[in-house]
Amino acid sequence: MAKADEFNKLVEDYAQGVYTHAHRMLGSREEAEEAAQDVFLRIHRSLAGFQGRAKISTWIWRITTNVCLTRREVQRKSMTVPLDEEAAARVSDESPGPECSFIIREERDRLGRLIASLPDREAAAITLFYMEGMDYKEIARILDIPAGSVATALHRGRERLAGRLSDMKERP
Amino acid sequence: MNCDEFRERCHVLIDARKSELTDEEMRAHAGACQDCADFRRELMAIDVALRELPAPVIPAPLLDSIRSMGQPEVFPPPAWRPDIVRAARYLIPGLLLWGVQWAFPEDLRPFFLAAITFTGGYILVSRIVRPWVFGSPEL
Ligand SMILES: [Zn+2]
Repeated sequence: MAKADEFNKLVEDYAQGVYTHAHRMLGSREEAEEAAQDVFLRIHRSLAGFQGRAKISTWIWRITTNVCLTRREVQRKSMTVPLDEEAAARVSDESPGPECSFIIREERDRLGRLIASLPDREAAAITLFYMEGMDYKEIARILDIPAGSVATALHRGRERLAGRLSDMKERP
Repeated sequence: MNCDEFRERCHVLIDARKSELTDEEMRAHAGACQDCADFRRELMAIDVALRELPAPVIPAPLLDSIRSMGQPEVFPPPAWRPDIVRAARYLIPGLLLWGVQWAFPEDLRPFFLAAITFTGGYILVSRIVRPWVFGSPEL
């Protein structure tokens, strides 16, 4: 059946990316797993109604971003998973590449979690720019904001990360 | 060039994925202003770190469970099957009701028939024809 084939192809093409995106936005493996499931359930449900007016990748990243933003909202309300430096500093379960030393690995884990601690728009802009290698225009279409706001979010996010990472280096 | 301008342009260069300062004015500012030179160094460091941040590998059980969503049986069955089932559900009581007319005196039968035809027609349109044409509301 054509729709099933199409869905299977999307899973092969996007599952890893959706998971990475969710991990960056949410800061934990458990949350990322639930979000990725949710994203593909939505894709599955609405694939039949997808009109092809937008690029399919834009559509998928929009769903992914919206799912993650909704989960962040829930996180904030329940406060069970605080999205702050404390959460960011917790040791991650991500498996590192064999080539990186312990210190670099620690720093990378911190950085990964720091992205999740950014404000919504900055986290989304940073994630899409770095993980998916998108430009302002593509990110603007996904977040449904002007390209200028994307640039601002990206710049603020980058500065905030630089600041927080150097704070952490000073008091490890 | 002032500091704000310099910093903004640093971001724009990074956004364009350029690592060198090609602009003469910017090079001059970076040489003269230590704060901005440090700022740029920090930005470049975070940019490289973000670029090199390894992607967490999707856990295999999660991938399996997402793949299983695409199994054909998970997709809803073709639309005609529930429609036929639904039609039969209304058709059988309808026929029984049709038979009831023989219990009425002959001069009252047309009124009874008109009543059940109207009701049956309404049900037919609202429950079967409309969902079939415009899509089932519960999907
Ligand atoms: Zn300066």
